[in-house]
Amino acid sequence: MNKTLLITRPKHDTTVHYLFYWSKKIIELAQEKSIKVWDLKGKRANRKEIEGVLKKREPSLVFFNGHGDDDRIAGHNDEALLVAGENEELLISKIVYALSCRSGKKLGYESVKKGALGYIGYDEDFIFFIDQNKMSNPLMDKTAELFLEASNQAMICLIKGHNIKYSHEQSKRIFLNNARGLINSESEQSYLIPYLLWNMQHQVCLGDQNASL
Amino acid sequence: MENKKEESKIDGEFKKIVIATLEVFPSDKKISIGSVGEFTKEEMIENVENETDVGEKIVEIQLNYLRSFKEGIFYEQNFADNQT
Repeated sequence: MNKTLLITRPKHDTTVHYLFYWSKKIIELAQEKSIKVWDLKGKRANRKEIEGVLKKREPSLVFFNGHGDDDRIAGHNDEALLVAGENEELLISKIVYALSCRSGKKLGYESVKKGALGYIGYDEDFIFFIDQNKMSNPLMDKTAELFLEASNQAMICLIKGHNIKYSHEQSKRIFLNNARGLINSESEQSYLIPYLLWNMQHQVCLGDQNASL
Repeated sequence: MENKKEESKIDGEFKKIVIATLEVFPSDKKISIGSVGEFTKEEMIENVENETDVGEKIVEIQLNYLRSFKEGIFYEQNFADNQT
């Protein structure tokens, strides 16, 4: 399969606004690695466009950024892009990282049942903190960085060709290291520790653990 | 999400502890809880006090942390060594 990345980046509220900017780093890395990128951003993160790219372009790797629930991942204005029982078979033969709340609880399992090679996601709410002084420039937000850098690590590893198990573990390791760093330094940001650990403990890795690009 | 629960689901003493924890949060930070939204320190405290779903989630995270800390989460994790 050709190495192609499909990424969804809605931008309609503060949370996805942050994911929009932080996931740009992943696009840049993919392009450096000569991976073709289908960037469905803003209004283009809609069901029709996503289904079209999944069917016609057959990306090998899919990175969802958006809100979610047990059985779904959403896009622009929270339109459901993928729903268990409706269109999860579109992920057949693909590796998925869903930076989205709770989709690892049901949609991930159903996707793997229908043929997705691997699915990294979260079986609970993904939580992060925002510095209100940095909202206009999310990439300068050192508080959000502790969370979104750890999340991005899963995609960095996948793009570099590592399998999903390793990529999942490396992402969890960054969450843990960031939490440890806050303890060791007696940082004023130590209040973030429970939330970093929460994300670490609720990141799930489903499917063939050896699956890679 | 419901805004308020009819019956108290959170242990009173633990609720006080969680609120005390939240009170030291910086005022210029917000928590993002998925599609539920973003909340300031004051809004987090209010949600815990009113035992909303958001408040229960915050309490659950704090409880989870205390449990994990007690179980040695910072010492027992054994991820692959090499960073990529």
